[in-house]
Amino acid sequence: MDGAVHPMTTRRLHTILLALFVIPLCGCQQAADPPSPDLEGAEAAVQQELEKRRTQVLSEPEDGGKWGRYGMALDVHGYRAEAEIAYRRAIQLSPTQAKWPYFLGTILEVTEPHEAVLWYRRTVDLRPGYAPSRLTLAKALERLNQNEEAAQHYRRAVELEPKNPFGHLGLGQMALDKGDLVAAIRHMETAVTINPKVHATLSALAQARLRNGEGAEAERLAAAAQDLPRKTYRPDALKAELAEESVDRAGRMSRAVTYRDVGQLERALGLAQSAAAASPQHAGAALLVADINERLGNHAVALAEAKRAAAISPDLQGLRELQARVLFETDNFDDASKAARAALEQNALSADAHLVLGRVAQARGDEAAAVRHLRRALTSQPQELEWRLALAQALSGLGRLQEAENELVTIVETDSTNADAWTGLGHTRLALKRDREAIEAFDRALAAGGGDSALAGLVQAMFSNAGPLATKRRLELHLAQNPDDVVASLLFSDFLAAEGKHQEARAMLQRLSDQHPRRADLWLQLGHLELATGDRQAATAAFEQALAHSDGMELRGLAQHGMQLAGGQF
Amino acid sequence: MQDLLFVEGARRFVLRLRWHSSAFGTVAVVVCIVLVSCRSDEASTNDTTAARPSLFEDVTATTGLNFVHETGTRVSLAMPGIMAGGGAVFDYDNDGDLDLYFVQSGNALPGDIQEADQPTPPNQLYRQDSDGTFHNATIESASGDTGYGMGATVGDIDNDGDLDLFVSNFGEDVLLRNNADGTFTDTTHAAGIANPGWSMSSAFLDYNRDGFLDLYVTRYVRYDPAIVCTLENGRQEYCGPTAFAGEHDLLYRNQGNGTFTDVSVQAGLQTVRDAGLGVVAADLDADGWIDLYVANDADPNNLWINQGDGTFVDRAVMLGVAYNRYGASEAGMGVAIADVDANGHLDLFVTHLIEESNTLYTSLGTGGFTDGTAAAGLGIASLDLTGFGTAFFDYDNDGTLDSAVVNGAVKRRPRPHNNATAEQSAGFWGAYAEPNLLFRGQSDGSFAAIQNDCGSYCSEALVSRALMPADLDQDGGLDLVVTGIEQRPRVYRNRAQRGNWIGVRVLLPEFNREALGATLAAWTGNTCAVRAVSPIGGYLTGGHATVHLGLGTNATVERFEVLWPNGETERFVGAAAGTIVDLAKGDGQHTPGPSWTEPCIR
Repeated sequence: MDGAVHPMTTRRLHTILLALFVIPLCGCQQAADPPSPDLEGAEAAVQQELEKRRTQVLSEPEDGGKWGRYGMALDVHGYRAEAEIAYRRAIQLSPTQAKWPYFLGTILEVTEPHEAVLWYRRTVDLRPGYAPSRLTLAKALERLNQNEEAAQHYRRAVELEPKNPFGHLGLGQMALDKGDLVAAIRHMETAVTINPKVHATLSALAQARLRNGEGAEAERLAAAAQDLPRKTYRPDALKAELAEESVDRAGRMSRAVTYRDVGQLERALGLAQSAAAASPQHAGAALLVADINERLGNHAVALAEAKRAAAISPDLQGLRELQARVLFETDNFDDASKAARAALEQNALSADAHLVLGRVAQARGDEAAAVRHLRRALTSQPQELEWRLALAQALSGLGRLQEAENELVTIVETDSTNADAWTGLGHTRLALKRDREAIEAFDRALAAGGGDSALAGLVQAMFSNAGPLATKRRLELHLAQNPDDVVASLLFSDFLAAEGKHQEARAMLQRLSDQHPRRADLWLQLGHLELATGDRQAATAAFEQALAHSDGMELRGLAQHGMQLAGGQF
Repeated sequence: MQDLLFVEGARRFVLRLRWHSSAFGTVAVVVCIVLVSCRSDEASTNDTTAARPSLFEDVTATTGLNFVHETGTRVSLAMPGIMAGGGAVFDYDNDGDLDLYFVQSGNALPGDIQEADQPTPPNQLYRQDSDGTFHNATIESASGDTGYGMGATVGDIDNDGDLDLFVSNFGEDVLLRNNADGTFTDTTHAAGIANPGWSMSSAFLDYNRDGFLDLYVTRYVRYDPAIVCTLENGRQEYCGPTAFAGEHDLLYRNQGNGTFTDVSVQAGLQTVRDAGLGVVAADLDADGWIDLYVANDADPNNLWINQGDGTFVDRAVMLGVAYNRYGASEAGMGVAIADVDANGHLDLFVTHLIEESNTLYTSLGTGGFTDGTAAAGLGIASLDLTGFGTAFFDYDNDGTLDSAVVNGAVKRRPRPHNNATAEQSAGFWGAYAEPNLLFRGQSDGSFAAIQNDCGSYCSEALVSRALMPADLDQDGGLDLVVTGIEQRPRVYRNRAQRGNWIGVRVLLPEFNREALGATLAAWTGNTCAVRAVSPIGGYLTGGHATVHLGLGTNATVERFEVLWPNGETERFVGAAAGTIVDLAKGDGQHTPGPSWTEPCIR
């Protein structure tokens, strides 16, 4: 049953026989019309699409591409028997096109797994550099217990796409089957390193570690796997091309969700809107349109679509949560809270509802309530790092610094490039008087693209821990790499001023204010510099600029305070 | 998200030949491909052994069973209708033979006034008479609940020596207490188990070792009739679970006074809100505390490890029973448990949706489980089917466990199953009809699909749901009872040539009942069989927990060992074949622990 009974010679024989017998003999269909599926109950868009594709085939019956495209349209809308016929004809007419045997194999994998393997092999022969088809073939072979050949394709897929975790995962599983724990762990570690957010690889590694007697590590990995999204996207451009063919409402919604989840919101919105237009009484489609609009910041549209969904299905899952999110984002905290509480009446564990209540509490300064709700939200969705960040902020606001640090460490252990979490960790450790660890965290934050807060924190931590000279050198280094960093320049000008290099500092600030004439903080700094040199007139002028460009109470107050110091009028 | 329906496209069998490595095999397959490419509609390899007697014979017509399941959902396509159809097999009147209970769904969902103008048909209890036929005892036993029924399970909740009945419903569940006089009393509200959600399979277990059977109930989803689901072409269809929010399962602690307390939250179950369907209760880590394995539909499965302090922790991911080999959540439906490979550890088998193979999780002992589906040969045949009820049982009493799976689609198949006749594929339910599967266990731990010898059990395409192997006629051969959607249940009489057998009732005399959750090992010659003492289960079913062991040509079992639910182990002397023996706790010889944790000798 294993691969040993299917040596390469046999495999080649299959391919030869396939080429010699099957494809030529498909000619017995040459005179046949393209199949017509029973379209009873099908959506109008599907009917129109299939009729259009069929007409195209009839107009050019010797065009393999037309047959294949018709096959795809049939396939993606569930007419697989008819799709099978179309694909077979496409293969006959376009024998060098890899995707037709690939799609045919996919159809046959359920009913004819052995024949499916033949077609997958043909795909691999036609397009040997395409790793996803090798992974598909390997999986189909594994199901048939033909593991040796499966391993060959996993290995080749890894060579072709070293950054694709699924080849490594396949090799790891095969090693695990053989009891080769060292190799299994090596392959699975590689897969996890490539993408630590794939639950399949983490859970497989957990099982390998368990079998290796590493129970605690296995438990840690399993817990991490459970926190990850359950759906795994396996990159496969050909299958994605097939999915793109769907024109039915559910298919469009499905694709919209996929695009939404990978951040292509405009594309997602177009699909969702077309689905909703095709089925105006479908509450889920309206909700999806609302959801994507909310992510795009189109809050008014989102609320209107949510209202439309509610009119169709008032108890629709996720509706109240969406309303709560939108209302929160438009600062309508009272109504956001009401919607969130209504969502909790439906589902007491609703993570979104608890999140909104937590954020509302945070915005209102009720950090204790914020912590309570955010913790509940994270109980359901522990993988949401942004929520955990909000929890850490709330804990920090309550002075529960150690707990805040724990949450932040959890974030950076999961996502070591999370600049916000590193910044938060730096400030928390700074508050805990652990300056050296704070410096490390701020450094990691800046390396991860952290902004002004990280830099300011770093300067503060270094100043108290390493002194002004080391801090200034660090700032110089930062400015050498980021010459346009305004906050770094502001901080650096402080050091220059402290050293009495007022002209140098002034020149630096004036250059910056020329580049950023509307930045109040620059004018503030310049005003104080002028004050320090005794030029009250220049200081007043700078503070007036600061006041003119202040967009918040705090900056405005500082500018007014500066003008008072300068003796000016306001 | 509403109705993100990824329809499980059905496929048609066009090849029947098995793949061979020989040149002949290659040519044979290629020739078949040629035939298919020319769209031959002729069957390629129909039954070539028609003259051979079937292993199972459909004797339903002679049994007196006239129950017909109803769903009332042909127009509305309301999802609860497609998931229902359970039952139980148990001796409710303690007269020594097995009786049958069939759970009715109804002609309308609760609250559905459109189709509710007819009286709701109740569940039906059939008592077996001395001649092997059944008569309807529903009214006389007062067991005919009229809720929108899903499944049933049985257990002696009050330790009075008779089996009580729990019925899971879409709507309030029902507890029927056996009055020991052939009647039941509905104690649902007094007992405190009236859950208004959507309950599916359930299991009695003594999770806290207080001697009273507690109750675990899987819950499916929070169904919303306003949500309309469609196939890939836009045609309306029964919804799948992803269209709705999941629910956490329920654990009721038996207070010992006829009442139960919902301890789901204290036990830690509220952390998982997935679409639960099948459940088995057994001591899967051999620590003397009964654990639970739950098959979830489109969600990762749960292995709730009993912590011994009233709480459970889900270890399914770490132990390798949450996902399949590729890390994918599958549509878990039914569950079977048995030591399939005779290594002394209980393995788990889960049935799945079309396009997903059923999955065998082979236990490695302390190293968790591994997906052993392909090696066992249980996967490929299931790819084009949607599996529900399943069981490991020894139909030919050769000492090696066999496997059965009953099937039926949950969405219209795009084309009929190749084994289905035109007549079977016709009509509303014909679009969902699928044949069942039977596998013969091999000596190497693998299974071979039986295609031609199993009669209408395999050849008749139906929409089957529950599978209950039971020796109805007490001839030493396990018969099969199969229920399904909007159809009569089938009784398939075991006609196989069989080896010797023995039945074992594992009892707790202190509590006057079967030792659910115990593990039994039996030594015969140089072989050892390990079985969970578990009621007939799988999907929406319940029943007695007598262990049936095939002995092949052996005339005796040399010795037994029982790991009791409280963690103690006892050894018992053997017994002769052809009998049902009682192993009562306290009657055996205490041993320090189970000896079968060392692999059984084959």
